[in-house]
Amino acid sequence: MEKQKLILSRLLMLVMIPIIVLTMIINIVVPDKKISEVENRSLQSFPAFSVNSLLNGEFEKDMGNWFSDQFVGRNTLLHIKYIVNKMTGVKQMDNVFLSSSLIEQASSANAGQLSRNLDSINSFYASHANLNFQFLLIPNAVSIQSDLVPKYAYTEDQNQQMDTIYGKLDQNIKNVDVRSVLKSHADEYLYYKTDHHWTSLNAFYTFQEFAKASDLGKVKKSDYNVYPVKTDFKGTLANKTGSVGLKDTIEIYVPKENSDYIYTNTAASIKSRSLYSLEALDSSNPYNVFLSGNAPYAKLEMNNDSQKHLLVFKDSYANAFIPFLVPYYRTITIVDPRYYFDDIESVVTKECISDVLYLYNANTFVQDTSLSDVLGE
Amino acid sequence: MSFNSLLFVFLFLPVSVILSFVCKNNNLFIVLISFLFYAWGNPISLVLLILYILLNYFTALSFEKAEGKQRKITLIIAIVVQVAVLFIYKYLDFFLPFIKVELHAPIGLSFFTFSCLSYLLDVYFGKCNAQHNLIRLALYVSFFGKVTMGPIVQYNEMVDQIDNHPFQIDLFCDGIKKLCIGLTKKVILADSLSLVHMNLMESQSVLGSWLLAITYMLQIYFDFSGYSDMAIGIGEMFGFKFKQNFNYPYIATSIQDFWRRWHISLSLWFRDYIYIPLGGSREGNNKYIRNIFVVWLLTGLWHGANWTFIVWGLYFAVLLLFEKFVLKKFWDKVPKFICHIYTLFLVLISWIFFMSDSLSSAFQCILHMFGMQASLLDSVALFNLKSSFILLVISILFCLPIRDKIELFICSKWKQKGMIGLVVVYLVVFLVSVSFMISSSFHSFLYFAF
Repeated sequence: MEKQKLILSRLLMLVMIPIIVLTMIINIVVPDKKISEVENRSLQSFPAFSVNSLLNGEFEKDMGNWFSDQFVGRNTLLHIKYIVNKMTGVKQMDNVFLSSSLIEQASSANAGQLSRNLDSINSFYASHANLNFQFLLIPNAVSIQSDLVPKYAYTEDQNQQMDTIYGKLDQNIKNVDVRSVLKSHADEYLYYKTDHHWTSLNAFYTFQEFAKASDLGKVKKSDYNVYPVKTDFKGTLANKTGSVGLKDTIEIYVPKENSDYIYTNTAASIKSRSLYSLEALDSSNPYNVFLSGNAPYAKLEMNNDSQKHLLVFKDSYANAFIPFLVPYYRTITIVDPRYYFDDIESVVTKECISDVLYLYNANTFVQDTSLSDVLGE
Repeated sequence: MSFNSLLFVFLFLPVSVILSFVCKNNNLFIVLISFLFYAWGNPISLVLLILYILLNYFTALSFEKAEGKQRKITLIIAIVVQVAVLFIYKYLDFFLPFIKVELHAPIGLSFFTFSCLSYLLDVYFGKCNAQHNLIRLALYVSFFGKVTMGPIVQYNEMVDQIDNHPFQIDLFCDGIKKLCIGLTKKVILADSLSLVHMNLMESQSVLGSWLLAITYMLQIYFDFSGYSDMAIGIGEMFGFKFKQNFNYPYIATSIQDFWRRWHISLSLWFRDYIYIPLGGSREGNNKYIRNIFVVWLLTGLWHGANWTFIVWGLYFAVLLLFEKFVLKKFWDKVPKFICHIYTLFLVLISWIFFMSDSLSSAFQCILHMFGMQASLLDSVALFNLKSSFILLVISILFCLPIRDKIELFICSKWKQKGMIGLVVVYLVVFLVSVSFMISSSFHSFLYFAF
C-alpha cells in the first residue's frame, strides 16, 4: 500500500515539475499582450519599479496582476472555468445567470440618485413645457425573458422598479411602455445571448410602439432591409463569464425609404454619410457598429422636410434604436449624459429642439448618476 | 504573497525550489527567500519579524548566563513585550474602544508570535538549548511555508530538522502531491463555497440559515486545511517534516475528538504552554475547570478581538467539561452515528458564532435555523441549493477520509493503468484549479485574519 502511494507521488512529480517549470518559462519568454479580446479590457503590463511603489505594495500588487493577466493560455483557462461551472450545475457567475443564454441580473436601484434624476427630468420639462417630451425605458432580458432565468433565481423586481419610475414621471411627459409588447414577443430574438444589449429586432418592436405613440404612422418589418452584419458576435457577458458555445448575430435594419443624412461625432472625429461603423464589427466590441459606440455628443442632420428637431438623452441601448428615427426628424442631437459635461440649454436653443426623448435600458437607468447633472437641478 | 496566487505557484515556488536544490537547502538562502515572501506586498512588516527574531535570539542566549529570579524576569519581560505588541495590534480597539487608532496587524503576527513564545519557553524549561546560530533561529520563525498561517510548529519539534533537512526525493514528491491537494481544496472548493455563502447571507429562511452555516463550516475547513496541506507540502519540498494540522475533523465522535483533529498545532500549543503549566487536570477538579476556561478563553481571543470569538471559545470549554463530567460515563454505549450527529451539530453551531460579526447576528441566525422569525424556504435558499448542489455533495464527500481509499482501490484494481489514470485526474484537477485562480478576483485565506 505505502509503495503504491510512493509510486503515485513520484509519477505525479515527474509530470508536475515539467509542467510548472515550462509554464513559468513560457510566461516569462512570451511577450506581453496589451489587451484581452476575450475579456475586453486592457491587461497589466510589467510594472515600473520604484522604491516607493515597492514599499507601499503597489509594485507587488501590479506584478501579481501582470503575472495573472499575461498567463499563458489565459483565455482557455477562463473557458475551462465556465465549462466546469456549467457542468456542475452552477447557475450564476457574478451577476450573470447561466442559462441557454447569458442573462444579466436586474440592477438594484440607486434610490437617492434615481429620484434626483426623475426630479430633474420633471423640472427640465417644466422649464421647457413647449417641447414635446417622450420617455422610453427598455426592460432587460431578465424581466422580458424571465422564462430563461434559472428557477428560483432571485433578482430585483424590474417591473416594479419601472412602475415606480413611471409613477414619479410628470404626466405631460409621454411615456411609452413597451413591456407588454415585448413580453408578447418574448420567445423571439430580443436580446443577445452573450451581450447585455438588445437586438435590432427588439429595437424594431419598440420603434413600432414608439411610432404609434408619436403619430409617426404605421411601420412594418417590410419597410426595412435587414442585413446580418456579424454572425459570430460574442459580447460583454461572454467576456465576463468565459462562455463557450454561445454566439450572436448582429442585424441592422435600414429603412427602405430613408433620408440622406450626415452623422457627426466630434469626439471620434467622424463625419460620415453612414451611422454604422463596419470597422467596429471586427473590434472587441462589435455592438459599436451602431453610431460607433457611445459619444458624449453626436448629431444627425437629415435631408428631409421634417420640422422636428429631436434631442435624445440616452445610454448605449439607444445606439441600436436611433437608426429607426432617421426618416422622421430634421435633426437628431444625441447626448450621453455619462460623458457630457457642457451646457444643455445652449444646445436646446442652438438646435431649435422641438422634441426631447429619454431612452435608457432599465438596468442602466436605475443606476445612472449623471443625468441630473446634465439637466440641471 | 499568498499560496493561492499564480505568481507564487508558477514563479516564486519553482524558482525557490530550483535554487534551493542547487545550494543544497542552504539555511541562509531559505531565510532570504522567506523574508522576500513575507515582505511581499508589505515590506515594512518585515522589520517587526526581524525584531522578533533578534529579541528572542538574545533573550534565549541570556537564559544561559542568568539564573533563578533574573532568568524568570527576563522571560516575563520578553513574553510581555511580544504579547503587548500582539495586544496593541489586535486587541486595543476591543478593550479600549475610546482610543481611536487604526492599526493593521502584520500578516501572520498571531502565528509567528506563538512560534517565538514556543522557542522561549522550550529553552526556558530546558527542553532545548538556546540557538546560537541566528540564521537557524530565523529559519524556525520565518520559514515561508508556515510564517503567515501556521502550522504553529513547536521549536522542540523543529530544532533537529533545522540542523539537518536534506533534500529527500520521496518527501519532495509527497510535498508536491500535498501542494496540489491543498490548492484544490482552497481555490476550487473553499472559494466556490465562499461565493455561495455570501449569496446566502440574503436569505431569511430556515433552509437558508442552515445552508449559510453549513457552507461556512465546509468553507473554513477547506480553506484552512487546504492552506495547511500546502504549507506542509512546501515544508516537505525543503526537507522539513511538519505534523499534520487537520485530521478529518468532521468525522469526530465528540467535541474532544474534534479538537484533536482540528487545527492540531494550535491545540497542542495551548496544551503544552498554557494548560499543562497551569497544572492541567492533575490538581483537582476546581483547578481543572479553571484551566479549561483559561485555555478556551485564550483560544477564542487568539482568533480575534470580538465577543463572538470569546463566546465561541467558552462554548467549547463548557462542552468539553460537559463531556468530561457527564457524557463520559455512558458515551461508549451510545451508537456511533449519534455521536457523529451530536458532534457535527454542536460544531456547526459553534461556527455560527465564529462567522458572525456580532453576537446578536449569531443568535439571529440560530433563531432562523429553528424556524423563529423565518419562513421555511425562500428563493435565495432554493436557488443556491440548486446551483451549488454538486459542490456541496463533493465538499461533504471530501470531508471524509475517502481520497486515500479511492486511490488505493484504483491502484490495486487496475495497477499501472489505474496509476496513470490517477495522475491524469490530478493534472486535470490542477488545471481546473489554475483556471479558478486566474479568473477569480483575489480571495484571501480566512485565517489571514487571525
